[in-house]
Amino acid sequence: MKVWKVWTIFFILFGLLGGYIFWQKDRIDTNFFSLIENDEIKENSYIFHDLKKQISKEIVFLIDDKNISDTLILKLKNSNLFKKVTYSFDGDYKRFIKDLNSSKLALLDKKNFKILKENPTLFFKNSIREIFSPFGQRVLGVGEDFFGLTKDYGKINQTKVYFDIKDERLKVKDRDKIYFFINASLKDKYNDEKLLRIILDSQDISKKYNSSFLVSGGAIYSALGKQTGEQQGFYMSLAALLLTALLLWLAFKNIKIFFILFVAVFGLIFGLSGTFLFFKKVHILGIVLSTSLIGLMYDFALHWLSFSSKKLVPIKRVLKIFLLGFFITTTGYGVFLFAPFELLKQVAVFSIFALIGAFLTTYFLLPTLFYHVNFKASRKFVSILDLYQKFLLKTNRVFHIKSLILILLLGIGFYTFLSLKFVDNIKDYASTPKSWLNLANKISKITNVQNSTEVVIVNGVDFLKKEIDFTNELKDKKLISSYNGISNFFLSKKEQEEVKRLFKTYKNDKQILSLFREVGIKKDIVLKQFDSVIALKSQPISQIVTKPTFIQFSHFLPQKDKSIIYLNSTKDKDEIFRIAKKHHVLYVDFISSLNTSFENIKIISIKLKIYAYIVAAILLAIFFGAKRAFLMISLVLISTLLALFVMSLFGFHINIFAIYGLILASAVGIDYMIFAQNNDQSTHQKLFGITLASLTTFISFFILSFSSTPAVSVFGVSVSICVICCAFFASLLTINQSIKKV
Amino acid sequence: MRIIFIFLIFISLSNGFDFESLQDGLRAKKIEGNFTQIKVIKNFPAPFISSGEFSISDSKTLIWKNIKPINETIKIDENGFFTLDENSKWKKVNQSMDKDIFLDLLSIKKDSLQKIFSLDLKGDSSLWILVLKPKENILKEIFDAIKISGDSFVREFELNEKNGDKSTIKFTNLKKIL
Repeated sequence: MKVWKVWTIFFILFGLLGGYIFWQKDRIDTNFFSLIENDEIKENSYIFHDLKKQISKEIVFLIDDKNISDTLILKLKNSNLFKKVTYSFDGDYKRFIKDLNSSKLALLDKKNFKILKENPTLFFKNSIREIFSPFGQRVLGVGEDFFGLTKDYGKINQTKVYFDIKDERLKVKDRDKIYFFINASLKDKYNDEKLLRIILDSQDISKKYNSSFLVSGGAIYSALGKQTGEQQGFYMSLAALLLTALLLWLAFKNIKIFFILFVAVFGLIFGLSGTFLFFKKVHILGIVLSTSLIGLMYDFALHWLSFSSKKLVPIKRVLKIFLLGFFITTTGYGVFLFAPFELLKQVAVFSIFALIGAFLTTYFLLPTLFYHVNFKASRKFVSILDLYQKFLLKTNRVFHIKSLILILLLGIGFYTFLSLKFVDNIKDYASTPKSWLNLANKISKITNVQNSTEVVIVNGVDFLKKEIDFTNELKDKKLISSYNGISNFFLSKKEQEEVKRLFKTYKNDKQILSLFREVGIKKDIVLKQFDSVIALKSQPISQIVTKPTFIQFSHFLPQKDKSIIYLNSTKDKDEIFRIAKKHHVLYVDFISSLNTSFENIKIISIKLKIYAYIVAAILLAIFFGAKRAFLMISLVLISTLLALFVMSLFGFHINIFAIYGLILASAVGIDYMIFAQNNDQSTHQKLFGITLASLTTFISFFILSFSSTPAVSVFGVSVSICVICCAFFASLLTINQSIKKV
Repeated sequence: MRIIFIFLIFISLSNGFDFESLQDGLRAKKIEGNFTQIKVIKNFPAPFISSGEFSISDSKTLIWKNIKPINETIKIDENGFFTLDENSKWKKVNQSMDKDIFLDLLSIKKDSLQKIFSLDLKGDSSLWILVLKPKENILKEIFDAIKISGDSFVREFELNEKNGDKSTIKFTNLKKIL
């Protein structure tokens, strides 16, 4: 095919696929909770995810110095980062009173509702005390709320935050310390750096004046993570890029070698667009795991280039071995299509398309770029390679004891599996500094605002009744310390009707009426007040939370006929599950469910990888014979075991990222083994190809292992160790076979 | 509650009508006496009247004993709000309001008061009237002004609320222990 035709096709493809990705970018799913395999949980996970997202944009500040808090408020307001900065009662007071007045029935405190039902004398005695006491804290006057139905409205949100009339500020008390409370809600789009600057500056000012400054918020941790990640990412990429560039330069001594980057670019574009084509939503974790294929994508090209002594051989000459490598690797990833998890299916599709992209680019585009280009390795590189070859020869002399080594390695493998920490905990994936998490815990303790991940989702027309019955049973059995849910803040319509019914009954209760008579309140006045409560209109909570004063509670009702409850300090989860089932509500501990899902994904991945090995072994046996195929597969398995052994020595948790690292590296390993079998190449050429391919992959991944983000670090460690082992064994195999030939 | 905040400051007035004199008056170890509270609620034909005894010790502890028509004793000190239970033991009340406000007012922190109110003191030591007008938005929504009058003691406290309710507290049989 003519060069211009090839370039036109690739140019059009690049434009089309790039445009398609950009157009479809909103289909990238960042909701980690959607990875939970249970369909019911998955369906509801978006509610939880949206809430988490919303909560993560809330930043809470506690400062014990008014001047510093005033300065901060000003800074926050002027920063243009926030939708709302709450530090005082900022509503319309008349509107507030109106909303309270129109929702009196629903605002009767749960505790007082119980007293009204079980001990009406006490309830009405309390009402009378409130009428006469100058110390009551009722918001509505006696004329508006004679029985004090709304008197405990201030305690409605159960937090310790209170409004201080003197300073007109929200405050919270912790032992003898009083903090000014500020809650700032970030806009949908905000500048991370600016946010961090404001927070860190205020922290410094507080330190200077020896005052306490506590702050927490998901957005801060993500900004910190991003900042660290960006810094790390920058230095890591730079180091990897420089080292890889140096290596390629030493190996090829021609600037044009860097055109090889096209392979990765096209591979990734193919992979992502292919995934968009087949899935409604593409999960970010799938993309992250799949991008690690970059190392693998270069293997075709490097293997072809390794033929070069002065002039490149026609690429057709390596087509057969390319296709074999491609077929085995895609089969290796293809088996994930049979996984029960969508994430793994996405990884499979991404990988297959990425490998197709890399293959096509290497086969069609690279020859047009490298046509007539002379690549010649530098003397230094050649001499290092010679040294390595000598070392391999020496090693091979003692390799006759390979059966003994095999037994030893299997022993190590057995030990490794016994000592591995084979757990997943998503809390360990991120790298939020402990000092910040301690601050968040301290704030949660002081304010009593709990951030539970144990959630109950209640569905159906009678969802409030279900919510009340369920939480009552949990409380009665002391399985929770408390809960945050709509039924905890407002009385349901049914309960409001119950209040009216009780008032109707007590209106005719002589003993109750005598309580009022004893304090000098005339009967007709009392009866009139009873009538006014009886005449109040009960309202559904969904209607109450639309009123401006109560709008903050609407997130407990994410959808019509659906409510969400957060359980605090749970005990005996199995029992809670049982009770939830009985009440037909969905109890989810999102974090542990996600951890379980990750563990399941990991186990299924390992099983599928074993099937992939079997398929690879069969294919290799067809091409190279059973004995050689067995040897090739064994060496890759031994490399994987060695990597696990090293990781267990250093105390790494074998989480999903570690497993994927090994899956990727073993796929690469099989490629190296295949390249070692290429009889068209000299031993030196084979070593050149395998070493170069493995070193480029090793550099990229080993640098990742220095990341402070555990997920990234463990991924880097597993790939780099396994790849280097595979490369070593593939090189040893090359030497071994060359000696046998001689 | 907002009613009681203010009168507490002035209950211990002695001979003067400026803030320095008020603070001098507060130096008394204890002030005690009787009170009568009259609450006139809009659209209610008769006022709600209650009476009892009170004492303030060292400007730090207030005991408010309501005798008629209900029997209830309340204590406010630096540890918070308490009610006296049937076993004559103080039981802490979970008041969302900060007790420091009360204690600040008890010791007449002029600086604190001036943050919330504009103060207008008229008359002489034999008969004076102090009018406090809220500066802050929320208090402005609740009431227009608080009127406190007296001579060598605070004799009357009056609060007119925006919703038409009116509260008056009259103090009698006042005694000061220096």
